[in-house]
Amino acid sequence: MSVVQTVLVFVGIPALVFGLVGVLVLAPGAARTPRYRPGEAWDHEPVWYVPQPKRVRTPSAGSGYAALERGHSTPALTGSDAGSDPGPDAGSDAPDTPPPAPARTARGGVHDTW
Amino acid sequence: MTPGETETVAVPATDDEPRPRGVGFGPLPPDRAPFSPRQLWRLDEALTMSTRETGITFSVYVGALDNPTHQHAEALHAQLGEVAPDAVLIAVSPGQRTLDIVTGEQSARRLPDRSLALAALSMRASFSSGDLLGGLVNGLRMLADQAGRAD
Repeated sequence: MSVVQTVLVFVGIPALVFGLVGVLVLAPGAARTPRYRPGEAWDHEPVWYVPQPKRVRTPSAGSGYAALERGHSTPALTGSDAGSDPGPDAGSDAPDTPPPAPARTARGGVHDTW
Repeated sequence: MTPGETETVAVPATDDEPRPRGVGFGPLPPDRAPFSPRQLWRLDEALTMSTRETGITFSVYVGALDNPTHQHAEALHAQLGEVAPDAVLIAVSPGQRTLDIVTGEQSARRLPDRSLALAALSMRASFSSGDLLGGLVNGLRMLADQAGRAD
């Protein structure tokens, strides 16, 4: 067995095995969505998930989803007042006079922190 | 770095090179979706199943809320339109570490505040350990169980 063959067998193969194991260990973590950690800043866009109307058929749901779809386009869905600002000319009174809010619908609720 | 910063600040030439982004270090890019497709699938299943079983429209909001957060959550609930009386909104602000659950006129009868508090307790436990999606899915399941089946 020549020197090259010896090096390949006793260095090359172990290096290959270590590299393979390393890739298998690190690859899933690199591809995963970063995990939320309490106390970290949350710089994602606000998202609002509602059940798909086509897959939900209940007597009480009825046809009310038309209003729900309209609700998706309202500026307040962005989660802040920034989206409802109509422009620089109306910027002075825009934060004080938001568009007429829908009537209050909440009857119960809880607030919690962690 | 943004172009606006490079205009006003003299930047050394070496900083123009793109910095390698380590996995898990630094702030998350804002365009990154908060949940992976697999997580979204789980959330979709939980939302659809709980809504179908109970007849209550469950919806989940994840994002920043204006202070006081509960009033903002109530305003979001009002935007649900015609389904609002039958709807339950779970509003989570991970950055502010707040959780708000809002019920409408009909859904409040089936889910009194005591039931909401129990679900919120379970969700809070998951959130505080960093499991945002697990908390949401478990909370939806608990709320659906407590609301019971559609009449």
